Amino acid sequence: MTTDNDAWDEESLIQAAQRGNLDAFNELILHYQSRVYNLAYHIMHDPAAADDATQEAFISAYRAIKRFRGGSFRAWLLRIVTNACYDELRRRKRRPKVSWEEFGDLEEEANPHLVDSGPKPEDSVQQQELRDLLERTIAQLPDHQRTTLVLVDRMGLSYEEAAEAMGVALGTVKSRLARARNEMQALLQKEPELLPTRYRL
Amino acid sequence: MTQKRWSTTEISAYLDGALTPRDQTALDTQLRQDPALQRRVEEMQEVVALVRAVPLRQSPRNYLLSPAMVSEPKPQPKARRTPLLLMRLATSLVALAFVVTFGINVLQNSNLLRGAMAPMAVQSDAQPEAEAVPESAYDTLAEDETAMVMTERQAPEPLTAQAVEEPVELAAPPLPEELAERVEAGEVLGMGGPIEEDEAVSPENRLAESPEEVAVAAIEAEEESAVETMLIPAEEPEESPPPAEGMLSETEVESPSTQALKRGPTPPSVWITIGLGLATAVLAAITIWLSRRNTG
Repeated sequence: MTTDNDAWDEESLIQAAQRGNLDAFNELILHYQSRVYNLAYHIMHDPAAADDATQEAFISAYRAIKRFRGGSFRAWLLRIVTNACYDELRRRKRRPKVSWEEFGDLEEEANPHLVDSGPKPEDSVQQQELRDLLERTIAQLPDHQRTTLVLVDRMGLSYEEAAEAMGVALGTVKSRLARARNEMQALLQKEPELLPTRYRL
Repeated sequence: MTQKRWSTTEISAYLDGALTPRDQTALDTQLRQDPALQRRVEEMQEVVALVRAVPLRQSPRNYLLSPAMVSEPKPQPKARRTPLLLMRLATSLVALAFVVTFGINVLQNSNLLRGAMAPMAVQSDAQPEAEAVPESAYDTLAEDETAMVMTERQAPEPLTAQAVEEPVELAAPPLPEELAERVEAGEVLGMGGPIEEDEAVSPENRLAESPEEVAVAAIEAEEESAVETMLIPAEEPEESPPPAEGMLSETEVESPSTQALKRGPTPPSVWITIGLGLATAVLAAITIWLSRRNTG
């Protein structure tokens, strides 16, 4: 898995991908796929749907990369996946809901191409529980607040990048993020016993 | 010194360093003096720390793309649909035109028949006399020189007296004998030899005859006017019925209007209707073929 290091040259990879170099674009995919998948997961609340949306987003991004005019590639890419997820959610609202629980958690599937960079086994259980709690709480937020919170606090985007990714004004990002954080605080205070001691509010 | 009431948005932005330098300094100053503000900021700070601390989920697989995955969808289906849509449109339009022209033709024919039925209705009152005097048809045709020439050319055998006697049997008693006499005298068309029209047909000659002939002359005049309106021009002699016996029998069996319809030149509207019908069939067949090819 590609990591942020000195060899990482996003600009060159983008230019190569714009010339049709699929290998260069695959390098970009390896770098961003975790963030793209997590954003899709938070929006969709569904591992399988997030998996499909991530794949579709990368295909759409490759076909559209010649129209990328510079700026934050991360924000541009996350905007594509955000739109793909919202489109899918709109389609789902028009169709009968299907329970994806029976399909299990895709994350548990073996993936020999991924290097295990996760925490140690003793930390894994606690972090898994904390992540489940956090994801459940985030899932209770309104759509736009949730997306803003995930983009800024989970993906690490700046306000400007988040505004670009969502196609809204900077002030909108600030207000949505503040409301999301306030709502998260209220929700987490309802079940403080589930939080680790250092995170109890 | 009055303390400002900071909004949640400002506190959230303060945590990210997104306030203006002036507001950032003012909130920093107030934070040191305001425990309530301190608590609000700390609570939100803990939430942000929690959200940021939990690692992201690992993607369940790699999303590497292959050339087949990113190949542009073929626009062929769209291109193939265009001629199909055009063919459907053309077929619909031609079919509509066919229906319209067909309807117009039907209306025209019905009007023609209705017009022809009017003299026939008048004629029906004097039906016995008309049937009794078949020579009226010959007299009418005799008015048309071309038709007469055609009749003479295609009638090698003259009409026999027996053939004329058949309708005479249906007629009133006094007329057959006179008719037979006139037939023998060659006054009736198709009886062989040239017809001296002036003598045979002129009304003056008839007026000099008996009152029955006066009535016959009146019927003849009506029939003449009716037949003239529908009588076939002599441009198509091959479509004309055979003279003598054949013509006589048709006159007996069919009305003049039916004869006119049968013998008349096909109007252009009929040909147009036929053409549109054929075009509709061809276009429909092509459209069906295109549709099956696309779905297949």
